[in-house]
Amino acid sequence: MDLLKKIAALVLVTAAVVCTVPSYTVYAENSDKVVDGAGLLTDSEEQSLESYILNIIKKHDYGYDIVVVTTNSTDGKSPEAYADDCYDYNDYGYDSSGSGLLLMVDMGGRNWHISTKGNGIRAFTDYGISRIGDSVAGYLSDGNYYGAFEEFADQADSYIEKYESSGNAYDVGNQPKNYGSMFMVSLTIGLIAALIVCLCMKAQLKTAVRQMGARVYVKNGSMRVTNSRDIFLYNNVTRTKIESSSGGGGSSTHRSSSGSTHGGGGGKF
Amino acid sequence: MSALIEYKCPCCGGAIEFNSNSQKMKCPYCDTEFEIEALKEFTEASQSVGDSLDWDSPSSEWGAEEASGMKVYSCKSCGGQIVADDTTAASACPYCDSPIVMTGQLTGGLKPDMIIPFKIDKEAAKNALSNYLKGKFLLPKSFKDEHRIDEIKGVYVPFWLFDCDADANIRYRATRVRSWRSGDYRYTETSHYLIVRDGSIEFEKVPVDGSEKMPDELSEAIEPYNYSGCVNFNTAYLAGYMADKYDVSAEQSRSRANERIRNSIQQEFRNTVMGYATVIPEKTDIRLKHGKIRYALLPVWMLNTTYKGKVYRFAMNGQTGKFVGNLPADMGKFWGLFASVAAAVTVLAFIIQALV
Repeated sequence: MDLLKKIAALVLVTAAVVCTVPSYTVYAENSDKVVDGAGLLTDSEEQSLESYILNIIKKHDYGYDIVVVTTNSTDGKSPEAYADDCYDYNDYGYDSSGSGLLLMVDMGGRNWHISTKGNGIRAFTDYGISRIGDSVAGYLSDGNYYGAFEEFADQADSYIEKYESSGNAYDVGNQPKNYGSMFMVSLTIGLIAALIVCLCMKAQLKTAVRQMGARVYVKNGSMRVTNSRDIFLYNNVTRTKIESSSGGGGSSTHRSSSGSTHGGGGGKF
Repeated sequence: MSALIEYKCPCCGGAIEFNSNSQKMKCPYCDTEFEIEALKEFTEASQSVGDSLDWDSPSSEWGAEEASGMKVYSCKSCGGQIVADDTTAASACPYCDSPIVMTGQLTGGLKPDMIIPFKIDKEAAKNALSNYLKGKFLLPKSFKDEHRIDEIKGVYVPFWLFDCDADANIRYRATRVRSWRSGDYRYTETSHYLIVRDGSIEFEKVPVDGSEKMPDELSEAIEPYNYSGCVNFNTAYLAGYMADKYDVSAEQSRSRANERIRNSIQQEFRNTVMGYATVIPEKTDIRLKHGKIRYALLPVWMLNTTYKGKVYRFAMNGQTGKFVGNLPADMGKFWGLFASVAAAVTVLAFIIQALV
């Protein structure tokens, strides 16, 4: 009788201990954030990129996974399918919805694709993805692969930051501030304003000018219009097609081969 | 009996034909169609008459008695002739400051029809200069302290005064634009009009500077004179002042008068065309009638002042006190102002953009 009780107690205690173990270890997570299938980075670059990305992930409390994958071919799949599958079948994503995003670069077809999942779909709208993609593609075209991926990580960081802190993602109606272009616009306005002010002040100094007309010398009331006709001749009608404006923002989604919902977009470089 | 009449297309100028299908006039070159009435009106309205800008020539000559009290001085440097009263001690040319020499009694030449006597004295002229210098930000600070007034001279400047009645026939091309949306398309309709404005307008005493030495920029800028102050000419008014004799003839001054009159007529009639998106004058015909030219002496205070070796000339209307002249600009201040305004506005614009 005593032995049975002892075994039961042991089982209960073990169960209690097991149950208190934190739940995130239940989901397997993939710590390999940079999968350089196309060999674009040196080993040291790969390592420093990995730790750079891990820092960002940690900064956002493991709410989002960030992955970079390069390959020489997408095995006949579309870049979108390939990117989605990379993310789904490799256990990326820390939370229950697998939130995060993945950048896939295909050297064979010169395609890039960003795939989002979970909260990543909301944090990265179609507009946001195309903006990130454009800046990354710039680096890729230049052959600066490390720079491209670092840029990707930085942008991901700032977009996640924006979404988490304000509840709104960067989108068409809520664009991230480009300080460079803001400065140029401000400078132009400043220069024009200064020019106008200064020329007006300068004009003050020059009062000896010839008079254009003789308005002052018109005899009062002497102006008479004896014949005033407005004759219609003909008219022209032209028409132009109105381009439907590109949507009001948001994220488009699709189902991947694993059945999960992904957002994202891609392009060429 | 039938003459072959060619009608011109208002759109492209080609020869237009009657199109029996549409029962309208159609241009074979640009394919535009017109109502017959509209075309008729257009053709009539397009008849043009041409300019005619004639003037009657002026007035009377000096009488012997009047001429006796006047002396003529001649300037060695600029070659002009100054007329002054017996009592005036004229020693320097009001324009170029060189000494002038009395060459004799006034003989012949035209006598002025009218004169506006000086209303403002020398002191007032000096004060006017000081006032003029106030409040001008870009004026170098040292100008006020360092400038030396060379001389202030009261001169009667000869002017030709032009009176006329003008008849004008003006044609404009105007458009009205209308825009609307239907379905996926935006339609824009541009209607073309021919605008006719015929009328008359009278001008009185348009002044043109009859002295070559008096810069036109100064003499035109001090306008207008109040002609109610005009009196018949009498040599007595010249006492204490100098009067310039005209050296630009009435003939030569005509073109300037015509130019100003034409510009004013165009402006006045243009103001009667309203409600169009674009208005372009196509043809302007002006005919002047009852043109009269008079010779008048109008009072001007001339001031020359030297600053940093350069001479600055100012003129003041001797009747109304209007003061004109060009001043130097302190370029240092100019660029300083430019930089500060540019910086301030840039920062402001940047902040506004960052906050929005």
